Amino acid sequence: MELYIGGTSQGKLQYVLNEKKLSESDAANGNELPLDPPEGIKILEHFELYVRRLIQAGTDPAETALLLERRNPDILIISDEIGSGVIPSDDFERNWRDSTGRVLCLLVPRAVHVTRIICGIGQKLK
Amino acid sequence: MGGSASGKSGWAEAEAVRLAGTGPLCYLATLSPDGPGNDTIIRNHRRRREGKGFVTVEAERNIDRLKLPEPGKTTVLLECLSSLLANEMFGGTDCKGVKAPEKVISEVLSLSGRVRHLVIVSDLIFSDGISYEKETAAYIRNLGTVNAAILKESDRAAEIVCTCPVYLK
Repeated sequence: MELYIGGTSQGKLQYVLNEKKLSESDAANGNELPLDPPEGIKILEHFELYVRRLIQAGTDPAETALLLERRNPDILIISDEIGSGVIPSDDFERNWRDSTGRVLCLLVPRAVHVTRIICGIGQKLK
Repeated sequence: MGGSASGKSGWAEAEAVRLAGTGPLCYLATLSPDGPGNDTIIRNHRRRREGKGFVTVEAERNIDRLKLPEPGKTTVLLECLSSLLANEMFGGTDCKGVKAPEKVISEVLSLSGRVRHLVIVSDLIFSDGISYEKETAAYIRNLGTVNAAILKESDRAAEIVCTCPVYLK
């Protein structure tokens, strides 16, 4: 598993496609991926939206993330960084940011590489 | 420094423990339990600190008046700069907004001069593209000022991204 993170609109997907010689059709989207993660996923983008939907469905995002990795050991996970703002007073919004951050922290030690993309440039974190 | 749930607190704890060696270790908790979700944060942080040798001191403001038995030998972990600033700006005290950043900066630097090592946690809240109303906008601006002033005086600084350090200094 490899992890790619960064702010919104930083060219994360394009970076991964270039690096791995893959095409957009290889990328699943966290906004529509089944909550019971299937096998055969090469890239999952918008992992943060997947976490959001899992919370909404009352499912533990950490457990599902580990299951996703187990079923797709070579998956490339792309996530927006969403925690660098004023802490929202709304419980759900706050929980989403915290959960996304915590699950990403959980995935880092398991990832082969971690890269942060800023303006299309990849910064190797691990 | 880091965003929410970035692993910055865990990193700072490990750093403080490393710097302290066998010397005394103080956890200076500044977060008021009143804010939304703060009770959960405090509970989680307490649990993680257990058994690491920290003596916890709570102070929502005036940290330069902190009484320590052996300040010159003590490593202090200050968590966090952002709550210290919020307490000054919104805590209903004598210091109303305008001078809050200057007060926080001078207190932190004063404490830093008295203790053996000072490890500071702060938040990066500057990248969500939202225009906030006057009070919150002032808080964001002030935190930027405080972070920059403290980083200028610091020996080392890092942004923690998903538990990975990106060194700034």
